[in-house]
Amino acid sequence: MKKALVNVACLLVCAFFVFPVYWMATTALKPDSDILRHTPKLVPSPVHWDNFREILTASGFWNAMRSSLLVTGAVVLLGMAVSFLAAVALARFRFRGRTAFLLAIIIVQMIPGEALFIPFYLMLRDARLLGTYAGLVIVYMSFTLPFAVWMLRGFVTAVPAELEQAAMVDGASRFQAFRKVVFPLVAPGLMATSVFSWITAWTEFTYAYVLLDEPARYTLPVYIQSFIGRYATDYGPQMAVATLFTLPVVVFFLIIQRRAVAGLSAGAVKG
Amino acid sequence: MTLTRNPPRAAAPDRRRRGVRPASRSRSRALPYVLLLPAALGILGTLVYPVFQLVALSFQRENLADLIRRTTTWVGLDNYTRTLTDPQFWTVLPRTIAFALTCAGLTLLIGTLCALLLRAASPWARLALSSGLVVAWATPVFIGAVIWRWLFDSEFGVVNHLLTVTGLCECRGHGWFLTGGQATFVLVVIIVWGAVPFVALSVYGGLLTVPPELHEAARVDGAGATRIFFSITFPLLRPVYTILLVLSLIWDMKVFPQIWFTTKGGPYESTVMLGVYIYNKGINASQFGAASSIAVLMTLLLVGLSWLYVRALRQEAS
Amino acid sequence: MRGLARLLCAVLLAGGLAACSGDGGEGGAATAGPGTLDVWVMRDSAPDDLIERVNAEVEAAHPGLTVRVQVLDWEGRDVKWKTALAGDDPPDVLEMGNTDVLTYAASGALAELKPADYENSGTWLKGLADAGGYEGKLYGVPYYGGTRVVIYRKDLFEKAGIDSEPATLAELRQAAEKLMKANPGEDFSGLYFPGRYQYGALPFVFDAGGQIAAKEGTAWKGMLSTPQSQQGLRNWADLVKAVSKAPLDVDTDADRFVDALGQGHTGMIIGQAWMMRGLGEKYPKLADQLGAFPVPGVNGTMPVFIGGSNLVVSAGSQAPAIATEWVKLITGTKYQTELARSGLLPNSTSLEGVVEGVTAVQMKAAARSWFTPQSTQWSNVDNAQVLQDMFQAIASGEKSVAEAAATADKKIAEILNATG
Repeated sequence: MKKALVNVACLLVCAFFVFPVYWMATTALKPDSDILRHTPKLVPSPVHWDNFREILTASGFWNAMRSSLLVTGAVVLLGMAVSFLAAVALARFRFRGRTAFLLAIIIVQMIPGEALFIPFYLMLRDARLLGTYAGLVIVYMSFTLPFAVWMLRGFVTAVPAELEQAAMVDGASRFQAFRKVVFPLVAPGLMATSVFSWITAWTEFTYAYVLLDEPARYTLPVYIQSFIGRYATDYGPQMAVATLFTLPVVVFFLIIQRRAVAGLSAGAVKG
Repeated sequence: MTLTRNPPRAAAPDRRRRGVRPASRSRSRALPYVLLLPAALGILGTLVYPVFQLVALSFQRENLADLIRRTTTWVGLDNYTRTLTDPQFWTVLPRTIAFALTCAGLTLLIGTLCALLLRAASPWARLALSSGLVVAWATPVFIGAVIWRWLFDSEFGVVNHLLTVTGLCECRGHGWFLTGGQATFVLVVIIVWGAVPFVALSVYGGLLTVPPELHEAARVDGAGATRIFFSITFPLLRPVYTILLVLSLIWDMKVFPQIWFTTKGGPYESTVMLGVYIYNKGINASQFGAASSIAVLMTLLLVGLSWLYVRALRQEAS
Repeated sequence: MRGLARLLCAVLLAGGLAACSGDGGEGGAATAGPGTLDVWVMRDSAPDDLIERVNAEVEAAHPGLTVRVQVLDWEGRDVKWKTALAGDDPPDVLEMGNTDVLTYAASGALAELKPADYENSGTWLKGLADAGGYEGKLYGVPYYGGTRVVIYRKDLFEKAGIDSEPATLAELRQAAEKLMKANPGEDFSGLYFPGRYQYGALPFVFDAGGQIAAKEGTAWKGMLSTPQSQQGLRNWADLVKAVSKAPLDVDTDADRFVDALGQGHTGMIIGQAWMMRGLGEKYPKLADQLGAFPVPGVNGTMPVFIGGSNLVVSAGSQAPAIATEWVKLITGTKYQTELARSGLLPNSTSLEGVVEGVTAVQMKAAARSWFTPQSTQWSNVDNAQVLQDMFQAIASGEKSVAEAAATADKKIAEILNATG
């Protein structure tokens, strides 16, 4: 009886969290006349695919998809390589400057993003990287790197050091021990961390909007924003684009959720 | 497992280990620095330099004309005195702190309740709730804000409709963004909605580490559920809570897109928080120096907060 | 410092960004040599094909030249302009809203232009010509104007038994009430008027003889509390409370307007004349059911705000001569005549003869016009949403007219008198 109550409560809470996303997806499946009703239809009927069709055939969407994939891919690959090495150093070695470095990557996460806007702008202007993907990648790296190092450190720490020592006793070099023993165990964590970096880069709007001045290079969030600003397009296509944008993120999150949470609490709790 | 697949080679390792030792030690002294180098360079290049610029800007007059003509005028502490004598700063600062405290408090409370539900539920209900949380978590912040604005639309919004049909209030055509109070309420909903999943799943992860025997023992002793939570579960999870609280506070202090895509700080600037204040001063009014000084002050505040975080970590480590 | 940044970026690039840098390098800084002319226009401005023809003409005159056109959204335009104009390779020609030009002219971002170079410069629409000037010099060439008119559904007017277009405020209200009687739905507005719609509401203030702000000596003073302005605000509030069911917490939102009329939630809107084009496209059945008339005031037509755009040339343009040539062409009689046919107001009163339909309605209304206070800080009043807040508070009854106007006056003076 009590269990039944708990289960019902679970479903209600679940409904609260899912509803906005449900509403986004179903709004995308309604024609205008059903979206702009004073008594909304809770279920789209008939299902109306035109909004999705309109977007998938617009050239801007695929361009934006390409830009987003390119930038995000670069951020994740570079970021993972760099932060993995740093995480290993922090988790496996005690050395001078370790605490300072840890402190630095924590503090650096506290600076409000809006405030760094002009400094980043000046830096990229000086480096002649305004309007380039490379410039954007650099900015995103700065957002993701500290957090990635932090999280990965947790994953590496969670692998007992005795395992690789044992491998080294058995004649493996440090590098081999690492590659054969530790890496497979950390791989899921690496995956989880990269998804976090991926989401940060994938969803960032302001910097992408300002730093990329050619529409052909717009990333998806900027493209979506232009849908919002455009005359005579409306909630239908806008929500459709948002759905297409959010869906892959949700799917990935559902896949990695357990690892991700483990890594977060590991990174957070273990000193 | 990997170990058993590599049968030990006789004798050799011993000698090798002995021979290699001194070299390996010196190498391991350098190794962490080598490993750290790319990240350090990356962080230096991508963050330390802009942060340095930010601090420098806070001592300069930098407006649109300066930005375009690339002139630099040092003005000493002018920006700081201006910020600290701006009455708006002194309304926005306490408002932001109160707002962040409210959001973080609610997030932790609701997150804990969700975590307790997750633990108590049947597997299928647990799967449903945790998936639901993940769906909200994965929704990009600015899209979440756009959706919520649409849900609370006074004309076509489904919130007004649902409130009316369920008889909770006669809310047809109700405008949620007409008064500061209600607009703030909507912002709290948006932020808590987005922040609870992380907290709930982290607390749930923590709950799983609490040995069930402790609960059994307490229950046998006649303790109620609330009592058990506060005298057993919470003390055990205290470090997790400290960290979640500090992280939530920092995130909620920095909040920007949720406000920008809904109220833009209105009505009557009643929902202007520090992030929006910086954006208005800097990007909108082109007073980049003044905006930087606010940002520096805000960062100092957050570093103060993060110091709590580090202290909590230290305690945990020792 | 510069060296350091470049070095660090180079390190990062070497670290594996080569793949995107090939793609990235060609853009931004390195791109547009003298072989390209970058033109940034705004969303919903001149028709694409017209701009293409201007481009073709300029390209033909300069073999090897490519004109690259980019369309910007109104939302977020400022941050885009600020960063682009401060960059190494700013766009050559930009379309700016007429209220935007001043800020950029004052900060040295724009090139000075000579009125004598441009056709019809003696007869430019006053609102646009004033907006393009700063300290007696010209920085923005009038491009096109736009005024707000009442757009209505002829079929609904007929159904409600309204046989003539309202010419006074009182008649407008009567018409709206008749429409509501004929369409008794709870959500039907006689005139659909969102509560934060400042450019729709401000004309009421001017109609009653009021104004937004005035310069007294060197200082600005908010003028919304004057008896005339307050009368205007009351006229507006009375109308909106009586005949509009539009949400009070939204500003001009073209979609809402278009759909309110298209979906039959209202019989009238006060909208930009060009919205009729979009309405006809989105709701083809309505195309011949739409009419427009000047917004009626207490006595005759209400003074209109001439919105619209100016064309500016960036101070850092690599090809200023070609840029001005492009501007000359599109602001000259030939293309302005075509522009007028697309529902936009041509930049010169000398072209009155060529306009018809809704444009003629606008041209007639433009006879009495007003403009926002000429201060470089004005855009900050906009950004702070001072007027929107005032209108919303009055419409919702949150504040009395006197209270709301006093609050707005105080804020306006504060912002306009601030030193950059």
